[in-house]
Amino acid sequence: MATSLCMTRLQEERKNWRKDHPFGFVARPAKTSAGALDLKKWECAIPGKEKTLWEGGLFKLEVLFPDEYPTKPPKCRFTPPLFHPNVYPSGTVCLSILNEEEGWRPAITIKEILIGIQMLLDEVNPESPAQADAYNLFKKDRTAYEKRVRQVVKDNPAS
Amino acid sequence: MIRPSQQGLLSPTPSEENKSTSPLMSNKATPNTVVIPSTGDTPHRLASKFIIYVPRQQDARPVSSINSMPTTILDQTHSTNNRRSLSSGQVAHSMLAPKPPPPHGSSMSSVPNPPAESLNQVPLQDASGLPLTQHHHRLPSQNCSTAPSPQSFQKPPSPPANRPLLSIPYSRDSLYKRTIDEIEPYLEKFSKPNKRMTLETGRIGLIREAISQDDYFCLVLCQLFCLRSFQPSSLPAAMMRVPEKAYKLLNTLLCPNSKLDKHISRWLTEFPQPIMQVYSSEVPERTKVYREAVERVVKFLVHLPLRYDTVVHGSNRGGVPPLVEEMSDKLYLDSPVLQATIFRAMARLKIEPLENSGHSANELVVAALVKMHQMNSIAFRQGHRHSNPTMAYQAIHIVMCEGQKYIQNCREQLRLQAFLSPSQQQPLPDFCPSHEPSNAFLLPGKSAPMIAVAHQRPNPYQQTQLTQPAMVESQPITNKPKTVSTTPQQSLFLRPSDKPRAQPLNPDSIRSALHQAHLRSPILRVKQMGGSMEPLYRFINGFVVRPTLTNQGLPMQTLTFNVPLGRIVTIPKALPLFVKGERQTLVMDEDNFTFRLRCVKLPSKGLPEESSWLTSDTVWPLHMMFDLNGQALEPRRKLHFGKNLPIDVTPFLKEGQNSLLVSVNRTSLDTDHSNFALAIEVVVASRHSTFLRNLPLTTADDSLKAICKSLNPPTSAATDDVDIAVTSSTLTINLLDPITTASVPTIPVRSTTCLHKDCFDLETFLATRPRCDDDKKAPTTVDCWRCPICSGDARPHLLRQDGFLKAVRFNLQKMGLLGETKAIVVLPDGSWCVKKEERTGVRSSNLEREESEMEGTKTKIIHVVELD
Repeated sequence: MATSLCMTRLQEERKNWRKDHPFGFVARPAKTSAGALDLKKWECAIPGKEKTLWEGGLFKLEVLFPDEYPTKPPKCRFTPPLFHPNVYPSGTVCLSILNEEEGWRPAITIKEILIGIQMLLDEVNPESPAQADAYNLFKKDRTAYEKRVRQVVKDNPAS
Repeated sequence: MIRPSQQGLLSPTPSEENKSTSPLMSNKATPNTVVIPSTGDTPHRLASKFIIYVPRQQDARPVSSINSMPTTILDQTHSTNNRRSLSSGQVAHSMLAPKPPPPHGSSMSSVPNPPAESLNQVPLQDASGLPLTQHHHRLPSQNCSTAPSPQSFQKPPSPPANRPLLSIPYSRDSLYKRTIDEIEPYLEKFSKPNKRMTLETGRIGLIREAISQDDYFCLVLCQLFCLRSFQPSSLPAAMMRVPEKAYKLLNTLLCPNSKLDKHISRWLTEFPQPIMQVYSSEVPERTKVYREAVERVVKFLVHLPLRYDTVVHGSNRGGVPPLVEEMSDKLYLDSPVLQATIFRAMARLKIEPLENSGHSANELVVAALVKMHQMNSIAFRQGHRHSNPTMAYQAIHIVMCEGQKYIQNCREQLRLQAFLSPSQQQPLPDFCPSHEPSNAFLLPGKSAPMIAVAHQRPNPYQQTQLTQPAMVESQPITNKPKTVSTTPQQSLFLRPSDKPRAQPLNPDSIRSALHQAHLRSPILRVKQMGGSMEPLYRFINGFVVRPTLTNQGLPMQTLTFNVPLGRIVTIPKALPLFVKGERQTLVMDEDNFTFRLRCVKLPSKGLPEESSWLTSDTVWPLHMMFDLNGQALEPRRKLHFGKNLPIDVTPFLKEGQNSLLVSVNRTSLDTDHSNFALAIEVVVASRHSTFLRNLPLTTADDSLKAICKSLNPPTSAATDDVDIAVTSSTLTINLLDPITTASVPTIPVRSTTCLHKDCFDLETFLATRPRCDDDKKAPTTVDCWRCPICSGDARPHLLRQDGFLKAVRFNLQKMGLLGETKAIVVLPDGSWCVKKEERTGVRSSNLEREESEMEGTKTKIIHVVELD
């Protein structure tokens, strides 16, 4: 039951995304080795928001859906791990709407998740740091942090 | 439960006592080992965890040369030296060649290795101390033609005869000296600038290994192999039967001759003696043995191409390297050196290497496997066989799997160390397979009986042999017998330097909260009604103690409350326990209540409403303790359970007066001013059918009126307030169920606490509520009633059917628009229309393409819709 519900929902998500999605974003189910679509694993990319430090960058992430989706949230992981105070060294995004105990609701769509992560890029939440590197730099030396972010953007260009 | 470390502490000295206390020996080998003393003609059966060896009762033929029986050399010193001498560039080649002996080899060939010899000399005894008879005779070398058929290998009762090995008919000392004197200077001269020389090192190493193990087959094979490449005309006539394919396979096993240095290859064709001289030798015995050896080599080479894939490559057993028996019986390979080479090469092929070349994790694993092979090999040469080869392969397979896991762990650790500063880095752990060779492959007379003997006759060499773990080759070892116990302890016990593991994000409470196993909530079952299993929904409805503020300044506070008479009667009955410590099972029905205590951090606004109380997280402040009717309550905290869990107080309540004692143990250093409130909640249950029957309906009229009211601000005097501004005169309602997002709900519901007018599908909502223990037959968890749209309180008794949206769905269905409508817009006058889909972003380009293809095949249906 739960599995088929998960698949129904993911098919809807895919249909809706293809019909209408924000410009510059990428979200598509991964292909299995056999060539079939793996709806539970999506390959996504988020562009840096305009007029922010992150503008011009395109950051790849994979979104993994558990069997209990949408009762439970998907797991979003930047590949490779991103330099950001709220991204774990593994690349996993630390965001309230992706936490089952906090802000996750079944009604949240993939589009909303990806836009949420895009907003998180520039709106760092210093209350819940996830990696030491970026957090320390963000707290102690904002200029160096910004310089590093610009480098990250340069390394992950949108085009 | 006694942990290994405690056992280690109990052991007084790491010497003799260690035999019984070392977990390696006592826990694994001894208890699982059964020795049945032999009587009469029945073979000795030595049953271990995995392997049963059946020593063969060989015919008592006259044995001429029992004294000249070659000593089996399992010389760890050699391997160690060689490992250190191998550079990383040599590793690739060394896969196909055994480790060459050390340069100072003259001493080793004359002095037999003490551990190995002692192994053969100690009389074997069974557990009762009686000596076991054992026959390990070498048969005369003529019976080569009676080689076993492969089929008989499968039948343990009649194992095939083990062919004896051919001894080298020369002085081994002098042969070894020649490899030093004639080749060593040459190798040294060229080896450094020219990496190609590693091939030669490998081949010479093979030769030396063959000499040290008295392996004439291997020497002859190497010579014939070189002759075939450089002087094919001088090959013995018997070699004509060897197919071309056999040489190709030899190339892969021993590296092609064409790549060898010319000087070395010429030397190899004439070692141990030029072929012409062998045939005209003044010692007739030599010629005879040589002919025999050539016969055997030919037999091997003829069978090699036929059986390479199944035997060598292990294609019929998942790539597990071959057993000695199989190589001997099916391939007719009578060379222990080449058997080990093939085994090692196959083990290396199968073990996925670690990227970081700095660590020899995979080599440790291969070494452990080769060690198993060597144990087998010794047993085989003493005339023993596996009675069940499948189990022997399984044992190898298990160690291989463990090895893979171990390498994986090393990989993780290396990856982790990339984040650490060099000072924080730790050495990688040693590989210590649980089915450690000396245990998994018990040699007759070397396991349980040996341990029993050891107490009576301490023998330092035996101890070294018995307790050394598999990865011994990786450690620098001196030739003198080492003290026992250090190595196993290092790898088996936790090291104090190990850092504590980070707390996982979602701890597995079964593992991390073992100390609170007694607090696990009981297993819940739904009472069966007429055979059908109907879902039972549990939720909070009411309080025994309403949310009450605690006084953080008062160390002891008592809360007294009454439990009405009827309430206790409705506590679910526990099924009787059959095993002490078993988790309790409660059978529940909808008239059962349970009770739970929760503590919540008080928001600044003050005591919360019931709905916001229920949606606030449970908190167990470290300084607060609870005691109900004299029973101390133990909270389950976030650290071990992933979140703070409510305390089930059902068993502690009694009818009438109850008292809850709250202790607040704050220190003067505690500057936290948060306050906490607690309450005892009543958990009720409702069956699916009862719930549906009682589901209230908000009529379409009422529902629409409420919408209109929100859209038309009252025009009475009260609203002259200029602060109120109407921002929107229409209301958009999303019709799709938020969980599936696929369809318009048939039973649209929302909670009375929801501020939105959107609804969700009741059936989907109920079906997706998590069950206790993830068990489909169990009732739901208590705290799962949150609106999928707004996360608000949506407990079953708060849900209402929305008549208006039901009517909307009915109308849409009539108009045929149900499939494509996602939202409607309600106007202030109460009328509504389908909301046109607006695009906010872009479409996928491949979707456009697919749709245009569709249009080609199908005429588009255009709906004309009239909206009222």
